[in-house]
Amino acid sequence: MNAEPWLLGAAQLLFVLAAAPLLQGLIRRLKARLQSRSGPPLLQSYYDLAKLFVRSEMVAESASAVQFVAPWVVLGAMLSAATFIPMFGAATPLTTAGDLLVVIGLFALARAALTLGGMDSGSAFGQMGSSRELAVGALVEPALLLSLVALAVATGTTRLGEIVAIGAHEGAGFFDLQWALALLALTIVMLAETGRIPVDNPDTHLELTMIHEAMLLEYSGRSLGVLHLAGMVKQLLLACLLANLFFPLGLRASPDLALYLRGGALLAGKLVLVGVGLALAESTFAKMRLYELPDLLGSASLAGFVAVAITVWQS
Amino acid sequence: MEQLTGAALVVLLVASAAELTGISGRTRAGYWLSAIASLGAVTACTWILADGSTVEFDSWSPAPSLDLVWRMDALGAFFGVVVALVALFASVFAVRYSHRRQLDDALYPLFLLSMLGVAGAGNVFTFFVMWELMALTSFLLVLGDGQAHQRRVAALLYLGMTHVATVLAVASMLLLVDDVGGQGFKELGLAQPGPGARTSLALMLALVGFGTKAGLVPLHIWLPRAHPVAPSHISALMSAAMVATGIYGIARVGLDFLGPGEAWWGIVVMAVGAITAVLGVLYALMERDMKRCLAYSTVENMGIVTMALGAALSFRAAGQDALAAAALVAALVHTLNHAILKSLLFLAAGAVQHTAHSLDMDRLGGLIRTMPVTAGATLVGALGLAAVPPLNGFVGEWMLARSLISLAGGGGTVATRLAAAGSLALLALTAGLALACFVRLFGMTFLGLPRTEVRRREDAPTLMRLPLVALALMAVAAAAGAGGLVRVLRGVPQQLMPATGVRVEDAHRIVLSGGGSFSPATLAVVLLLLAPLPWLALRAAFGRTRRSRGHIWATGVTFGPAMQYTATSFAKPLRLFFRRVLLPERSVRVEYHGTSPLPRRVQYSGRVPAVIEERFYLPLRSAAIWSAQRVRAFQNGSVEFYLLYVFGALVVMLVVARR
Amino acid sequence: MNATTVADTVNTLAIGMVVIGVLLVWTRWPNHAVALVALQSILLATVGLVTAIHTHHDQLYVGAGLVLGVKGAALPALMAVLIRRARANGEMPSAVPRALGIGAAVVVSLATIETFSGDPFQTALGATRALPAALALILLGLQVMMTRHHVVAQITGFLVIENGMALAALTATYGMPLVIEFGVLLDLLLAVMVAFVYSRRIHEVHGDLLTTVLRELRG
Repeated sequence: MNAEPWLLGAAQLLFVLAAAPLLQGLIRRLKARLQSRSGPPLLQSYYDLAKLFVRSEMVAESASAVQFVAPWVVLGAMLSAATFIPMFGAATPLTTAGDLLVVIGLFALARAALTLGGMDSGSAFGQMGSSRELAVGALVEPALLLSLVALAVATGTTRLGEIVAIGAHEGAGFFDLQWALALLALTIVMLAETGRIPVDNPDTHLELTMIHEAMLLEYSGRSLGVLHLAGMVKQLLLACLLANLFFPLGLRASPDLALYLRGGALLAGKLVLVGVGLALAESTFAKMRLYELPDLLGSASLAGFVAVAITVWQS
Repeated sequence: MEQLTGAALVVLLVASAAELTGISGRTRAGYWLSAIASLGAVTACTWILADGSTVEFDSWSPAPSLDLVWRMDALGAFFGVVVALVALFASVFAVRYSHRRQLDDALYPLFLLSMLGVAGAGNVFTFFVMWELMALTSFLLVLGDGQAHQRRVAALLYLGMTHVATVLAVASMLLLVDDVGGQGFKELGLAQPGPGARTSLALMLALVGFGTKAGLVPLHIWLPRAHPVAPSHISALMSAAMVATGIYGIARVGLDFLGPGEAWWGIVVMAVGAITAVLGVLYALMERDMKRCLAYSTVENMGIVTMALGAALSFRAAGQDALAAAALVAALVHTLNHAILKSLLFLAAGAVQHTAHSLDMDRLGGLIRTMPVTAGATLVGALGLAAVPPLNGFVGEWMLARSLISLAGGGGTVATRLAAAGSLALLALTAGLALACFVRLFGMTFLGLPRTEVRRREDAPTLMRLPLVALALMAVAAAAGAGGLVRVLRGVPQQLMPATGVRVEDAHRIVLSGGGSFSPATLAVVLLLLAPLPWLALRAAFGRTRRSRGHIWATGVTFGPAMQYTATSFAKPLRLFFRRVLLPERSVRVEYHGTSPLPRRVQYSGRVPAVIEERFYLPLRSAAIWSAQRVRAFQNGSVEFYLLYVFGALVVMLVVARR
Repeated sequence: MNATTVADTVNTLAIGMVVIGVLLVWTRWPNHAVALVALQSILLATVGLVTAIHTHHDQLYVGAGLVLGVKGAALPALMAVLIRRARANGEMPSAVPRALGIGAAVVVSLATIETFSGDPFQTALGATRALPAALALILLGLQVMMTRHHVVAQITGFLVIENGMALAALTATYGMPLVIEFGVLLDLLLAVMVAFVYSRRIHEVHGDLLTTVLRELRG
């Protein structure tokens, strides 16, 4: 049995778990700076998680097993998705077991668990958040799929590792109109999926606007911490997808340790840039009304579709 | 296997006779015998399917040129498996569930018989005899005692539409029979006439004729009315098995009889499927009745299957048989998985109705505490139909999406490939909406607080829970053994194309010939490792969590069940997002009393109209009635005038003949 | 008998049947109508007999015998009895003037026979008039049913149509299979009985035997 996939898997999982709060901290700090505040320390997310992990939990009397199991399923789905996404090189720990469609499916699994958990106690806030999350998710799904499929059609494969490998090999030929459109679609998807302005506002608990936070209202203690962590992991995974699929330069299909390290350093740099971009985007736009979201997400889907159509036309 | 199949059919006849004559008494022998017969049919059909052979049964000719010919190839055997599998569990469920009514009890085995007969028909005549028997028995089962207005309307609408559709389906097959000069499926399958005006017409007629049975938009309107009003075991059979016979008809004509055809066939079929899928799931989301919601979801899933058939047609037209085979296998996989999941959910709805005496999601809630087993099974079914990995509902959709990507990447004309990309987008939208639909279905019924008081405080009876649990296990098994399942199913395209589309590697992994592989089992193992791992790690690092129970936070006031969201309010964001498609109506009336600024009464009403019925079928109906009234002028009641018409017709005919 | 003689005989008999059909349009009395139909059926049976002798088809003898027995004897006898029983032997009024009716009948018969003469309508026997005559008989039967509202006229008109069809079948394809002949004759018997049962009901309710009252049955 080849040990390399196992080692790579362990490395990716540890990286994801370790770096996700850091990326969150970075974005929060950058946002604060852009708003002329000093902001929380870079490591604040770690402190928050540690605090939640040791606290006791308070759950509603009406809650069933669903609410207890849901956070672990959400985190498990995110970590499983991490094993299909190329990070330090073009190789992934799991190659033949799934592809980009499975990653999207795992996001859907996480959404199912999250929303069911939010509905479990019967709290109107949780049900409201679930309702909105699912509505937004239904519109996000085509945009996410089409942005990735544009790359899949161009490279002739749906395995994320192979897409990266081919992209890195072909080099500059990758920067075309369809590439830019797909990138735009994925960026909008990322804003929506991570619960950021203009779709959601991570900093408020105002019932008129909140989506993600509303589902977590009945959670406390370790379960809440796990859900927060899962949210950060999702953000990091999307950032990795964006960074590696669209900027694959320097990543190799069968790297040795040195290449892995170089890939890791490249990834870190790209992730910082993605973080800066997210902070900038969030500080520039205003929150949209919930019922205007179809316009934004619809245009993301349209951009994705046009990207696929151009690729089809050219091939 | 011939003997086993024959025995199964005889047992069904005996079951029907036993119930009709009343011999069975209170034993419910009809349903037990149906279950046994179904088990036999599952075994026989699975054997035929796995063996990859074509079994010809003895035929019987009641009159010259009216041969009842029985023949089962892999395609027919597959649909036999689907029917018999659903029938097995529905029959066991019905033993405790169904209300005693002699005619229904006697018709039920005949309904099963007719569906198996459709799958095993070996020529056009036999096929349509069985097809009509199926239509009539299901019509009578939907009608029931005909006391309720709703059932009567639904049943008559169904009868009308199925008969019009049958005419078109017959026309489709007769066109081909005319060309080939024989009506046996064997000769028709060998003919492969290919592209042309007549074959195009035959395919379109088949799409409309059989598509009505499968519930394709805009021919679906009978389905969400007729399926839910029947008892749940009948609903399960109709929605999981009978719709599949419509798919069977399209596949038989499109992929077996016609052979590689024109490029636009696939585009039309894909487009119909994609629109059906999106509209089906949207309307499912707007329903508050559990069974109607499930019926609309059937429309959605048949759309998905039709999309896969369209992809297969496109690949065949482009000469890529291996990829066409993969798309066909995707359609079959999804048909089977949908049958398992949909019968599970319809039977679960029956259990809910049995216990809570309601199917209205706006009035249910919190049933997970009183019905834990039913809730668990329903959760599996709901997540499966929401196409969430690693469950079986995702497998077929993955195969379809992968096929569509292959088609977009290089399968024939640019139009075909753009259609594939568009279908892919709509498939993704469908998946997202289906997730919302089934989270809503499960959450509103089983989670939260009961919205109205439930008197019965226990789960459904064991004989009703047993099929639910068994079906949930089957759903899991169909996902875990997806590779093995696909390996069996690739025998179907092998007989038709001949290409398999799927490579054999492991029992758990699917490898498509267009590239791409997926192993639900590996994914499940990874999930089962990575979900508990953080739990264990955190417990080791920080100790057990202390947990205490409290009230729901409701801004300081005491929380009550009426403060919850309802199924209707849950769907509101999507109702607004898709308002230009759904055209929802709402009216708010506020009454004031005197000069007081406070309203005395506020009345709110809203509904989502069935747009296609109101904008398309109602005008059609009015036009039909109008023209019938004009024609009525000829009918003046005098025998002599009628004879004059005959005389005139005869003279006209003679004049035409003389020319 | 040589083929020409046979063809001539069949032609003559067929024309004779048409002439009787025209007379049926003309007659006013139920008993005359029944007698004319019986005569027409006997001519038909003769056509069958001639064909049978010429072609040596054994079943045609049976067919001719059946026609003679049922349409030529049994049915007329039955009708005569029923007419007496139902006291239906009054005059049968015509919806159109009789002169106009007879004129139309002659014109229609001649036109049909003339239009449909020629090679395409020549029968296997070589008879050129048989098929056109059959068509003319069908039209004449319809005319009788249309213009006479009396129940006996309805039945005789029906029998004329029936004879026309039988003539066509006999001359074009040497008759129908015996099973079908049997079935048709059984149908005829039944139809006549039913018609008389209904006519008695009509008589009891309305006091006459005219089918015009059936106008009230409009759906």
